[in-house]
This record gives sequence, structure tokens and C-alpha cells, in this order.
Amino acid sequence: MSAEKLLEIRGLYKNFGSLKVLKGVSCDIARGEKVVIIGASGSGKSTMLRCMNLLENPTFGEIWLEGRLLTPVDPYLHNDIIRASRTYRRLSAREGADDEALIKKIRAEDLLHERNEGRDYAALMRRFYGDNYMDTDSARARIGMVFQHFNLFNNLTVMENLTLAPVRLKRKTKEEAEEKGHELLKRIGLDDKADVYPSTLSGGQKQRVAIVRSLAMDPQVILFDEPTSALDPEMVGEVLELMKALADAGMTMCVVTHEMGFAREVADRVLFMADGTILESGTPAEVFDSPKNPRTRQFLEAVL
Amino acid sequence: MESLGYSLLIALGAVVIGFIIGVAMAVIRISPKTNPVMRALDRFAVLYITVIRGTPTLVQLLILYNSVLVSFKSMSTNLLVPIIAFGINSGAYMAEIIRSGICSIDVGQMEAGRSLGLSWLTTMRRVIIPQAIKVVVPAMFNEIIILVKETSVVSYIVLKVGSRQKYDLLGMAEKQGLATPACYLAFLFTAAALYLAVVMLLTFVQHHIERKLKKNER
Ligand SMILES: Nc1ncnc2c1ncn2[C@@H]1O[C@H](COP(=O)(O)OP(=O)(O)O)[C@@H](O)[C@H]1O
Ligand SMILES: [Mg+2]
Repeated sequence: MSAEKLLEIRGLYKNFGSLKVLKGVSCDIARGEKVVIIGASGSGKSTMLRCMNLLENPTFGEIWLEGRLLTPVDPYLHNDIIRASRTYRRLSAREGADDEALIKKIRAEDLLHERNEGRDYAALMRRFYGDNYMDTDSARARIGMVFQHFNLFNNLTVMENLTLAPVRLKRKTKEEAEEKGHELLKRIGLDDKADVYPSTLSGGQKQRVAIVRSLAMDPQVILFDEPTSALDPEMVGEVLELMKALADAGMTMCVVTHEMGFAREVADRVLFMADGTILESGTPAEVFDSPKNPRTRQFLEAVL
Repeated sequence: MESLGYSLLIALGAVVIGFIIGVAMAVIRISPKTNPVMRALDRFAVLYITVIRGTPTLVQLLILYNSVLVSFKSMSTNLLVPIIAFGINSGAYMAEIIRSGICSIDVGQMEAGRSLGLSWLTTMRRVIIPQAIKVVVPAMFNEIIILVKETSVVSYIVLKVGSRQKYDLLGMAEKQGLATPACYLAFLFTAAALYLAVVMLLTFVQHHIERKLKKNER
């Protein structure tokens, strides 16, 4: 795991019952990188973001944050674990020694059965998991999330929204948290709203407060799921401005959005998703000006 | 007047028991079903709620009086029989009131809490429950009011305190009506007026609490 990879998604699958929503997504996000995800509605963008902080449990696949594993180990992603399994030994005894073909076959046909794979396999799984594991709540505390519908805590004032998590999780004392809270609110010009309840704010104000609420936890990366889609058009600008300011300040960001202007200006990399896979990935210039995949071209023609 | 006291005592005891059962059942119903024990408890809660809501209160009272609680029945003071029976009855309704109150809160509130790294329990306590209380209070008072009136069915069983037979509000009206049939209707009206007074008092308290909760916002 090289140090500059902050978030790493490997072979991510997500099924809802029989509905296959993510079909093997892999992507790395480096520290300081801004990744924008575009794609048609229903292509799995939200599901991918929600898997990244485990609001959804991935069906298969691994998610790594700062070199530590957030999900259970996916044995199919590790050849040495496959090799330690009884299934591998049985097949190699019967079918001969082509290691690569065997591993491919086991993976493709989903042949591993946790319980029956023997002690070596279990020990390896355990060691792998134990050595690298980060628990879900600590991971979430390091990963900020901004929702389409803001999701500010309605029963708490703006300031309480900003201080609840840092204080509860003992990141800061109440005084430190409030000091930081005022600093953040000043940054978005809403310090006078510290003691009001969210219901009195406009949509744009709510979303800006939601963004600084995630900042109050000093996250390593912030995930944005269509942060401007629920806003009246005149409020989109103020939210995008704040996001640009964050980007300029070096925050690592992963943004699902339909704001192509924002993507072009801010993104280091644009991912195009369709049918639960990443079909195209490149710099904004590459993806917007000379898309390689016909599906990307089609999508861009429809939205631009 | 003593009979009003017994009616209220039974209702109060039942509310307390019902509330405890209701909270427990609601917690079981809404908490994540991650292990077989939780799943078994959940199935039990569903069964309990279905049976209690699906059968008349009077039938439940008579069944409990003549079966499980039969040992209380022979004691010199048997007030616990109706208190437990109405408590068990009310618990099912309260469980549903609490559960639906919590479910009425947008899932985004829980997701926002979890995405900040707060635990399920902390998010419940600090964010979901305070919002749910506003939804739950009116329905809860409604249930309490119904319960107060429904305690009148205890006149079907013999209440004993210190081996002496005692009466609830309606039971007293019935008894006096048997003694002086000419005034039967007047006794019934008196009982009705007393029930009404209690309910109006409860309604007053309810509005007071609702106003207080509302002030806590904006
Ligand atoms: N909790 C869920 N249960 C069942 N299906 C879901 C759930 N969440 C999303 N889906 C389905 O997954 C698909 C992708 O959804 P989503 O990730 O929200 O797409 P996008 O954000 O790209 O519009 C959709 O078909 C949606 O109906
Ligand atoms: Mg979406």
C-alpha cells in the first residue's frame, strides 16, 4: 500500500437482493485528489459512495483507508489466501499445477466456502484482517459525508450540529469544538446563525452548514452525493463556491454531481459510471473533450 | 370517591407497566437484527403485539384473571391482577406508538449521525429520540386516555383490598344502582362526569407538554 493512496476500493460488488447494483468497481483516491463521479441516475453512484463509508455493506470487495481495511477480507482478492485453501489444494492435486488458471477458476466460480477451507486459510484470513483492520466508526469519523438532502440534525442548533460528533467522540473539548465551530461558521458567513435551528435556514445555507459539520471532524476525505441537486438554482452557486474553496485548500474530495462546469474546473479525475461499473476514467479534458466510450459520449451529449 | 381512586390507581399502574413493556418491545422491534437472539426476540414482540391488538381487552382480562394470575386472585388484595392485565394490554399499543414515532423520523438523520462516526445508540439518544418524542406525545396521551376509560371493564371481576370487596368507578355506579334502582341513571351520569373530568385534566397536561416541546425549536 503506497502512502499516497488515501482511499482504495478493490473489486467492489453490491447486491440488493437479486438486484446487482455495483459489479466490480475499483478505484484509488490519493491524498489531496479531487475525483468527480458522473453518470446517469440509477448507475450506482450513490451506492458506491455509501459503500465507501459503510452506510451500505459491500457484498464483495475491500475498502482501504490509509492502508487499513474497513471491510472484511475478500479472499478472492488475495492469491496467497486462495492458495492456502483446501479447495485450491484439492483442485491442484486433481487438475495439475497451472496456478494462475486455478486461481482464476476459483474466483470466477465462487468456489471458496469459508467454513471448509481449513486451518491455514482461516489463520491467514484472521491475520490479514487483524493486522490491517480499522473499525467502522473510526473510519466514518475520518470520512466526511455530505448528503443531497443535507440531513442536518433538526433538533439541534447550528452550533450543536457542528459540535455533537467532535465532543461525543472526544476529538475536542466542548470549548475547542465551539471555537472551531465559530471559525467554520465565520468562513461561510453564518456565524450569526450559530444558535438557530436548521428549519430557519435556506437550502443553500443548510448545505453549507452540512459541509462545515463534516469539516468539524477534521476528515481525511469528504464524500459529496449530489450536494446541489436539491437546491433552488440561485443557491447552487454558493455551495459550489464553498466546495471550490475546500478543493483549493487541499481537501481530498469525491463528488457525485451533475454540475459539469464544477467537474471541469475542480476535478483531477472524472469517472463515468454506468450499470454499476466505471466505464471511463481520466482528466476532465480527456473525458469531456474526447470520450473514448460511446456510452460516455451519449451521456455527455444528453446533459451538456 | 374511593372508587375513583381505584380506577385511577389501576390506570396509573397499567400505564407504568405498559410504558416499560412498550419501550422494551419498541427497542426490540427497531434495533438492528444482527444475531439470532435479536431475531427471536423480534418474532416474540411481533407475536405479542399481534395477539394483544387482535383480541378484546375484556377477554384478555378474564383470561389472565382465570389463568396465569390465578394465584393473585386468591390473595386478600388482588389489585395487581387488573394492573398487570391492563399493563400488558397497553404495552402492545405503546410499543407500536413508540416504534412508529421513531420510524417517522427521516432515515437521513440516522445516516448523518453514523457518517460522522457516532454510534447507533448515541445517534438514537441525541438525535432520533428527541425528535420522535414530539410525534409520540399526542398518540401516547390518546392511549392513556383510552386506558383510563377502559379500566371500567374491571367491574367484571371482583376487586379485593385487605379481603374486603372494592369497586372501581363503574362498579360503584352498578352497585349503587342495584341498591336504589330509581337513581341508577344518575349514578351512571356521575361516573361519566368523573371519567370526563379525568380525561380533561389529562388533555390539559398533554397540551402543556406539547407547547413546551414546540418552544424547543426555532
Ligand atoms: N437500499 C436499496 N435497496 C434496494 N435497491 C436500492 C437501494 N439503494 C439503491 N438501490 C437501487 O440501486 C440502483 C442504483 O442506485 P443509486 O446508487 O442510488 O444510483 P445513482 O446514485 O447513480 O442514481 C437503483 O436501481 C436503485 O433502485
Ligand atoms: Mg444518487
